Amino acid sequence: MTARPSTKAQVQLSETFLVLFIVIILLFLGIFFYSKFFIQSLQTRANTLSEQDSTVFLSRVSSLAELRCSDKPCLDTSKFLPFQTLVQQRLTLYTPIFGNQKITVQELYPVPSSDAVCTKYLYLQTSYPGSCSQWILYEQKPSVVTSTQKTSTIVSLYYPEKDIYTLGRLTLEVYH
Amino acid sequence: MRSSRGVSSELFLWIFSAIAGALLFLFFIIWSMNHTSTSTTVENIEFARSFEQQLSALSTSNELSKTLTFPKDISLHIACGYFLTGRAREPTSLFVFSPESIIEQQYTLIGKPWYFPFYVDTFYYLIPKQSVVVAYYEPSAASYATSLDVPSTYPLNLLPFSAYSLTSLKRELQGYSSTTLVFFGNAPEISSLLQALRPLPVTVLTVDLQQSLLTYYPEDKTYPFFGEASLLGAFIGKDQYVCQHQRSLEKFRLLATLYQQKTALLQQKLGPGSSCQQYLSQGGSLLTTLSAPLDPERLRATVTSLTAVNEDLLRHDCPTIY
Repeated sequence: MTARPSTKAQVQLSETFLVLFIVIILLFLGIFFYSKFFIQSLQTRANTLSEQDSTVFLSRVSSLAELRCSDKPCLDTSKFLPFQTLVQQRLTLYTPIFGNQKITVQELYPVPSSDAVCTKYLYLQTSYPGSCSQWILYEQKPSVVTSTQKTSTIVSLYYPEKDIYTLGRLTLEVYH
Repeated sequence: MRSSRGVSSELFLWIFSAIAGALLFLFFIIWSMNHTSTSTTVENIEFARSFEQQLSALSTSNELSKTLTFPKDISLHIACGYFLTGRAREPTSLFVFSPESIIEQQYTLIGKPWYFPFYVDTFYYLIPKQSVVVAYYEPSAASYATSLDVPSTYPLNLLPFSAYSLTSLKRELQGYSSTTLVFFGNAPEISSLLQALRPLPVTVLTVDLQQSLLTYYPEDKTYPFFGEASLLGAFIGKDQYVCQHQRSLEKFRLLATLYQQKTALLQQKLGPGSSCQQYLSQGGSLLTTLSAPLDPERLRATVTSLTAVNEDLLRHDCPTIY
């Protein structure tokens, strides 16, 4: 006589597999959704931190010894061109501090007669500071830019060559 | 009677459930541990960055102070150019003088600009609320010590050396968790002083104003200092002083290079006929000298000469170097 397979045990085994499978699926779905929300909240926190960073950084740039007047709350325009040179010479020092961003200064008042970006050639013109009104102090652009965050503040600009003060805008464009 | 087939399948069921349960349990333990670790790291990074933001915000004004209370669950270590928490290492370009470890208490944060002779950077002092700096000055150092431009929240107690007595000092230091004793000029015998003040955590240092040198005891190590901001940093940041001193001098040299380039541009701009040329030339060569490492004596002398040249430029209505 051949032994009959125990159908009760087989059903029990299949039930266990099924329950275990459903439990695992539910747990993994739970973990998946939790992780998704967790990563989303991390991204939100990172964005908030980055916004705070750029606001604080803007005020820090305006008080950088490399750019500011030594004893007054203003930016010394005669330091801008040497600063550009210094950044190029010491990229390894400045890139970790400034990161992927563009720092520009634009003269606002009195309304400039030229929109040109200042270079050494334009600086040495007799018409300077009328020969140009913008400075690109730093720019490091990543190969792929997904978004740009722009913050700016009004600053006082000092021209030691003429001993005059004008009004300008310091802008920070952070590349993401 | 149960069939042998039924028994083995039931046994298999139990074994299978136990292994599967154990694997699932292990998976969840590892996952939750990783999750906790990630959350802690994120919190630590946030903490270190917000701490740096608070310091940076202080650099926009000349002299400010605020009280910081550090959370119980995070300890911060201030290393040279880094803020270290349990799981984060945030690089910083700020100059912070403080105890090495910052743990669960209130601190006074003070920012003071460092001029040498031009503005170089802001020095930050992070001082535990329960700490004090007691400084004794000899008559020869009285004018320097009493004219120190100390921020009002900096816990400095200045006394003439004639007021020094071990009994009164012991009484004065009671209740403080950390103390720095400063002697402008000669100090009493240091080893017996430290012995008498035990078990108080005391840092002793002497300041030689003639040579602008400070000496830490009991290590008996001597270092130069350049200006008040540097000296005030030495009082409270014994562990960071050497490193921050080196870093600040590097920044100074970098700025000297920038000012040298600015001077060269001004010279070109003003043209050869300008009466300012001779002062700018002098300034340019001094700045070239300053942009390289120098011994403290020569550094001080060159800085003094640069200050004089800048004043000459100002007197002759010329654009100044700084």
